[in-house]
Amino acid sequence: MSSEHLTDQLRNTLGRLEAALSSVKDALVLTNLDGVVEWTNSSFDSIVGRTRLQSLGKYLPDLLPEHYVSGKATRGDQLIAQAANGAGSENWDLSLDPPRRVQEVSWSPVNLLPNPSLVFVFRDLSSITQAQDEIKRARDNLEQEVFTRTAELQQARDEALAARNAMGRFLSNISHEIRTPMNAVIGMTDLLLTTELNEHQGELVHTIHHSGDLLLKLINDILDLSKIQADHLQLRRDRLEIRALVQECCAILQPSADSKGLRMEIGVDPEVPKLLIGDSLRVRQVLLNLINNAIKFTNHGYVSVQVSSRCLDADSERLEVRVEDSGPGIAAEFLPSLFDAFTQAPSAGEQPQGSGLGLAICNRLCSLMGGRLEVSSQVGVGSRFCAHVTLERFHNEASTDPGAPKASLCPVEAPRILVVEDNRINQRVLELLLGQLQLSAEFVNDGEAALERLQHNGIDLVLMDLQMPGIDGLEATRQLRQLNLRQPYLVALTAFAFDQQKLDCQKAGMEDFLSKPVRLPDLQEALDRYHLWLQTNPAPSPQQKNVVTAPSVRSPLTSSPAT
Amino acid sequence: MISIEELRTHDLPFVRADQEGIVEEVNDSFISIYGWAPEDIIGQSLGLILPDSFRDAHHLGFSRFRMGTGESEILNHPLTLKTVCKDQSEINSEHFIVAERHGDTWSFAATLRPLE
Repeated sequence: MSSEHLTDQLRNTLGRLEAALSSVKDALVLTNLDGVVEWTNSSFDSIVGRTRLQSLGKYLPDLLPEHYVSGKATRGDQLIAQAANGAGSENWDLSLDPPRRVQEVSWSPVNLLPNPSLVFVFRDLSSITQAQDEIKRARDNLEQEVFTRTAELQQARDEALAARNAMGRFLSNISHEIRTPMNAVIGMTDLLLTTELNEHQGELVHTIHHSGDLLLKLINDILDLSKIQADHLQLRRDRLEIRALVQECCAILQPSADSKGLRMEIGVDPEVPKLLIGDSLRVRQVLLNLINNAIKFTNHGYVSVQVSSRCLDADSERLEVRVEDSGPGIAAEFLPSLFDAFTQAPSAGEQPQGSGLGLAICNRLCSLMGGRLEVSSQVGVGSRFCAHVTLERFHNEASTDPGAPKASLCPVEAPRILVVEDNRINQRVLELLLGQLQLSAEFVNDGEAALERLQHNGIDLVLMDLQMPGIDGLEATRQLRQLNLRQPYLVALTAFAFDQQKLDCQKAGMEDFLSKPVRLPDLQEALDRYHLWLQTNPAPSPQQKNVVTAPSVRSPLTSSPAT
Repeated sequence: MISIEELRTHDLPFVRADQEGIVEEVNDSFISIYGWAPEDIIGQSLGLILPDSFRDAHHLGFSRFRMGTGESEILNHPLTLKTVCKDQSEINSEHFIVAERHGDTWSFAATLRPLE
């Protein structure tokens, strides 16, 4: 190869190299070890705003724009010294004000003798940095938004909880306030109905009594709903005889059906176990509500109650109760909201009947019992409600049998009773109710007086109001249980109807619980429980404290309040 | 566009090179101002009269020019540069460079007006 040809080839190589390096987007500059510019590419010329000839021979730092590293202005001299020491890189901010303009500067010495040099590469990161800043701002904004929204939601939740608690307290208080006078109304009319009345008087008293019952039922419904919504409702484990329960419910409502000329059809599948375990009170409540509704809204034809079940597993049984009627039916658009509280299906030309709480409560009770309530209906044909509940299978009759039949009662002496009650009217109601049972009582007005009286012995049974001025019923019970004396049987009396009150009574050392207004049958049952207790606790020792109810005695302290 | 011939007529230091950048001609003005004798410079690379820091760029740019269309940012307008004298001192000077194609070959010429 001739030297001329070789020179041509070298020229070509250099020319291509020059063209290639000038076409790259990154700015490139070559200096000697002192930082004097010896070569630049087009991108470098652009960023310094000079032609190559204007840059050649100049000190590189003098050509570069002002820049900042980590917020501090940096001198270019350092750049040359750094590059001479070895390869490296750093990011330069070209401005302290937004929008950010950022360059990544990297360098390296090129140690070729006899003319070592330094190469610098400038890469514009402004777009990337601005995008990153935008993402960061968006993330920060999002975090702030999430934080703010979370705080708002927490506040809303706190307010809702506070409102729910306030509603719970309000219901508890209003229940007490209503039940106290209701105690007198129902108790007194109960007693009045046992007296001789003429027809007109009888009608008036019956109306008062019936209205009192309705009012009490409404209060109980509201309390039920409130308890379910607040997750305060505890289910009992009773022995359940489904057939008997269905018969009982139908028998209660048969007169209503008869009065409207309705045919009652009852069928219990033979496969339904004879005995199951569940909350008999709540199953009964659902049954009564569904059958009562069917009768209430049906004017001719029939009401059918069909019960079937299927085994879920060794321990549980799914019970299905279908209540069907030939009533007017419910419009399809109304079905979805039928189980909402305070809602009633509109009946043509008829006034709403009841509070609209019954189905809402039934629906929630079914859910609570591991099932659901379903409805299907056709206007002009009738409606069908299916209540599904899951109950425990009953295994061994000899084992601890929930709700076993009560032991037979032996005739016993009349107990010496002390009534601790601050309300004179309630004292009088109890006196009259006890009188109906051929019993009498002593009366004191508060906890102090009760403790004083009980220290002299001679009392077998105490009916203790909970809310009293001074020492209340719970505190009086606690103090009484600390005393070294023959401990009487204690029955709480309260117009509060929440399970928490029952629990408090049990903890304080009470044996039984009566919800106001006290009804004669309830009082009789409480006395029966006392007599059963006597049989298993014939002579409590003076040291005995916090006496517990005998296992065979079903005390309301381990169940829901009477409704 | 000024031709090499026109450039040569100016009463300014003048230098002409072939397409490899080898000096072929200088005038008296160039010899007297920059101190180079014809025998020192004729047949040598133009890089000899450029400062060190221009040399690489000169060779790269020159090579690329030859491969291209004949366009260049440095041609046909005055440029303030430095010229290296025989004694290696550098004199600021205004260069006016032109290029001409003759058949397959290029010729380059420049006036180098001293500014000091």
